[in-house]
Amino acid sequence: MDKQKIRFLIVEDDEMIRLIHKDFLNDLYPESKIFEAENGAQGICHYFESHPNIILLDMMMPIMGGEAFLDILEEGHRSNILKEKPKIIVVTAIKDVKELMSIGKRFAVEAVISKPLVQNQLKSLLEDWII
Amino acid sequence: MNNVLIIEDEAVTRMMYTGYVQKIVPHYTVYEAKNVLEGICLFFDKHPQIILLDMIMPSYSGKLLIDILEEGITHKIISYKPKIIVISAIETVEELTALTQRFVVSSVMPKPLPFETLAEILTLHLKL
Repeated sequence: MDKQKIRFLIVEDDEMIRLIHKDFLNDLYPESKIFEAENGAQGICHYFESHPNIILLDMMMPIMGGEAFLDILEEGHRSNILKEKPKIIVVTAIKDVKELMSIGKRFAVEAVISKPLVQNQLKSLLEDWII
Repeated sequence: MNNVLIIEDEAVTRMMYTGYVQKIVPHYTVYEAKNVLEGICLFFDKHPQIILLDMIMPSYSGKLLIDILEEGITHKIISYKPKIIVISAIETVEELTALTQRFVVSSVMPKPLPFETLAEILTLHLKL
C-alpha cells in the first residue's frame, strides 16, 4: 500500500477517542486522507463514498454498531456488488474471548485490538501494510 | 440514474413488483435485493431514483436503510436523496406514523401493493 494514497476511516462514537486516533494517524502518515464517522451508519456512507483502504472500527455504537457494518460488507462481497476489500482493524472494549475470536473471522477483519488502544500495536500493524 | 431498486425478501412479491415497474417505466433499470444488506450495497452502487422498501424482513428490517440514508444525508456524506416508498404490512397506527415522519420516506403504502397504485406513485414521484 502506497502511503501517498492511504485513506483511513475511523468509525467511533467517542469524540475524544476519534481525535486521538486521528492525531496519531496524521502524525504517522501526514499525506493520508482521514475520514471520521460517529456511528456505523455514517461509517457505511463514508465507506461507499470515499473508498477507504484501512478502517478502524468500534463495535458498540448508537444508531448502528460495528456488527451491522461488517454484515453489510459481507453481504455486498457475497453478492458480488463489492469489488474492493479494505483492511479492517476492530478496536473494541469487548472482553469475551469467543466473541473476539468470532469478530476476527469476519470478512476483511485483519486484526482485533482491545480498547484502550495501545498505539504501538496499531503502528506495527500499519507498518506491515504501508510502504 | 434511471434506476429503481426493490428491496423485498419474498421472491414472488419481488418478481411481481419488478414486472409492474418494468411495465410502468420500461426505460428504467430494475435492481432487486433479497434483504436490506444487499439493498444498501445496491443503493450505493446503482444510485436508484426510487426505492421500494419492505419493512419487515428477517435479521435486519428496512429501518436500517432509512437510518443510514438519514445519517448520510444529514451529515452531507451522501449528496443525493432517493425517494423511498415503504410497502409494508405494518398495521399499527403508531408504527405507520413514525415511518411517515422519517424525512427520506416519500410514501408509505399497504402490502400487497396493487398495480394501479404503484403506477400512480411512480407517475407522481418520477413526474412522468
